[in-house]
Amino acid sequence: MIASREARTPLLQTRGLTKRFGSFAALDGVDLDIQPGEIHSILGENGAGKTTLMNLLFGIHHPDAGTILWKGADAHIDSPADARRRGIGMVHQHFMLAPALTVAENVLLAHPDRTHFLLNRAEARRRVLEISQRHGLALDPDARVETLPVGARQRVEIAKAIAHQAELLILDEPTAVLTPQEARDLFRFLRELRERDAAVVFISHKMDEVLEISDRITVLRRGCMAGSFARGEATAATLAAAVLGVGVERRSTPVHPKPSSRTTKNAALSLRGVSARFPNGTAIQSIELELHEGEIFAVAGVDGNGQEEWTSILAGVTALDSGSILLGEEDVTAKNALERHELGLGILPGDRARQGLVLDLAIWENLALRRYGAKEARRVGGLWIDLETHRRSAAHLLEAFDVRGPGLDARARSLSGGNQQKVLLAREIGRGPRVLVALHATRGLDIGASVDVVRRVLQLRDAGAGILWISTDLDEVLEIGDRIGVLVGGRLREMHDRNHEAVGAAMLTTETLAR
Amino acid sequence: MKRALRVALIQLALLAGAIVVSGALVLIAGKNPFAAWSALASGAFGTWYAFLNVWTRTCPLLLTGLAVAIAFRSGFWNIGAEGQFIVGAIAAGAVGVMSGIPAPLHYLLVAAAGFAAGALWCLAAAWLRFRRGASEVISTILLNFIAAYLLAWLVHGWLMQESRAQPIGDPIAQYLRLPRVGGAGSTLHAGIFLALAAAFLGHHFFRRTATGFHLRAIGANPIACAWAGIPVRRRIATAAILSGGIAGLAGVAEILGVLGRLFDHVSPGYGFTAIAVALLARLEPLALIPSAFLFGALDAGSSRMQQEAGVSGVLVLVIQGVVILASAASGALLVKREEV
Repeated sequence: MIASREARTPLLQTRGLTKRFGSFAALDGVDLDIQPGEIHSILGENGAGKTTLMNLLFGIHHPDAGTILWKGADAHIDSPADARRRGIGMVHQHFMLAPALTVAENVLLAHPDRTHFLLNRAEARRRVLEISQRHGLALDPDARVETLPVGARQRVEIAKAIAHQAELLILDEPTAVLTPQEARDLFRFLRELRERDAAVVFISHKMDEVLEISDRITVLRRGCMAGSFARGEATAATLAAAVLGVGVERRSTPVHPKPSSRTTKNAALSLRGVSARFPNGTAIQSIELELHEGEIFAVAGVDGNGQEEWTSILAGVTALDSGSILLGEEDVTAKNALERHELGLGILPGDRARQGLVLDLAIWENLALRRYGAKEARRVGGLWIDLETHRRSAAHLLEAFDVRGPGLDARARSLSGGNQQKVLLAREIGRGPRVLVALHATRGLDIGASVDVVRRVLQLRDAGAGILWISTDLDEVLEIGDRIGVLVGGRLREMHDRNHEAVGAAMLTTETLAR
Repeated sequence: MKRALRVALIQLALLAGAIVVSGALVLIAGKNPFAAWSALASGAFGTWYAFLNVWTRTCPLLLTGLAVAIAFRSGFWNIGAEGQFIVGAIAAGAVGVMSGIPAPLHYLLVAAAGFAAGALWCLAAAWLRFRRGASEVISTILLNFIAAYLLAWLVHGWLMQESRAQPIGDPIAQYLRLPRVGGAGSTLHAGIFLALAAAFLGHHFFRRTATGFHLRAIGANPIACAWAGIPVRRRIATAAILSGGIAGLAGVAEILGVLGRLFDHVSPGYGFTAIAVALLARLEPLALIPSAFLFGALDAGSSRMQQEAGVSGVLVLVIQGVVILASAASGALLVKREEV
């Protein structure tokens, strides 16, 4: 059977598949061949087009150009329901379950029996039990989904996807939420599915997993095919080169800074065994870091590896489970966000419109957000705020940070993304902090604004502050980091080898499966 | 300033729309809407005393409207001004009948009891939201019912007048009654000055105090506020205390200024009308004054409209409803419900 695989008609093919959002080509001329009895991985960075491709195959989006062939025949997949009818099942990265309903009811919800007016619960139960036994999924049809752990919820999603003899199962980053044990169980199930001659499309950015399970690996980079490898042809190095596009033209900030000359041995920020677990399953795992004055420690990593969570812990927005945080000599573990700021910690959160600015307040009010209760701007026995003090200092900041625009009283919403980031930067570093933690600080900015933000951060470093620069842009990290590290699976690894491939491979490797 | 003018025009258009819709309903019911409006206007403004009576109704609407505006601006959806008004009135009625307390102290005690009762009623909803994740929209509505039945139970029991003749309370101490404004025959009392002062204080509270500024910011984006280090939950609890307390004070003013004792119905729904008052004013404390006055006039004129034009006073509720719906549609109620 294995030998004859190549001779058979592919289960699904795409030819020149293209999808544009506005002028941006999310997917550009992709040719894919998926054979029955094959586990086919799609590997790529965030924004490489993996999810867009899956949405096209599952009928959520429609291609702007190119064709999809299902069992050798031209197929227009109109909708997810249409995809399901043809035998395509999909497990989304974010679960689409009704928590208050039982497992059987959730399966029924995905496959309404249109021949009967009343819901056939007994039939749904029977089917869940049958799937559960046949595939070893261990599902209780009467359990309410909200009582189930994450791994079991994913099995419910899988049961939904294969309830009607799916011949192709698409899984979008299925291991992102799983423990290593759960991931192993999932792989066992996928292999078993392959034995039954079904095809699996497995989307991931974790290279070691992909190498372990795949019969074929297709790499996407910025919407294009960047390589396709049969099992055995690919190594971690060739894949990393394909994913990250070695030697291609760069997209990030061309600043070319000089390395810091003023790094001292004084710690600006020290993290000792910082760990925390989050409701979404992400964990920050015993991070150790000594950030010195006058240096930039730049941390690369693929989104979803704990960047957001780590930043919120440092900012003082969420509590940690264990470990301690020191600003200079002072232990700030128990201090709140405002106290940390007062002690010289600036934060550029990852989502500036949601976490950084209050878009419906005036620009000057946003600049004053952290200082509104400050003593020097109070009058009448401390009760009344002196608005003029705030407005004057806001005007100074706007000038110093070169925010040209509609003036103090305009709403922050009216600013461009670049100017919003500058306002935020002005608020966070305008008073010369000892430490700046910046997450995705240039994301979504045009080149000019990016360069400006990076220059100001470099100035801050040269003035003796410690900078923790967290980004998903590897080129940027390599360029501006005096030291560099990689955040993967909530763990921080310092990289002494500044080689593009080595750091890229570290970004894409989880140690969880290796151990 | 130009922006303020534009907003004012939009709100006036909204109000005009509400009046046209309700006029259409009168027409459908086979009555003359113009006769209805003119009866309503003469009921509200026909005589000096009628005009003063409009201000009498404006007083509780202004205070409860301010209560709603403070809560809504902070992103705390307090629909319970009615219940907080009622428990404030209960506190005033209960403390007001006590004897042997020096007059100035008694005044303070009545006000403090009313404020505290309303504040606790509202704080209960905030507590349920933070501890149990219960939406304050639901819990404040339910607390309204509890307050109304608590009042009915009390005036049939512990707080019933000593003669036991009727289910009403004993009259409160005479010196507690608020002075009349506008001469004999007027229903207007000095509480209106308290309400107007409260609106001005509310205006400056949002602009000139750190807490007020924080509340505005939290109402607009609680997540950014948490990242900026503003103690979001503590500030929302403060908003709940102020909001409930002011609604409670409205109940106190009604007992001290108008009713003089507890009845089993102390409010014709001021706390509900307050939502329309606050929304028409776009939650701006100073704009509450014309808004509350307008709804006070509709309320005061509606009985005359019923008598002369034969159009039910319920029509006024239709106007309130249209104002609330139109505000919701125009985005003033855009709910930012991201939990912190």
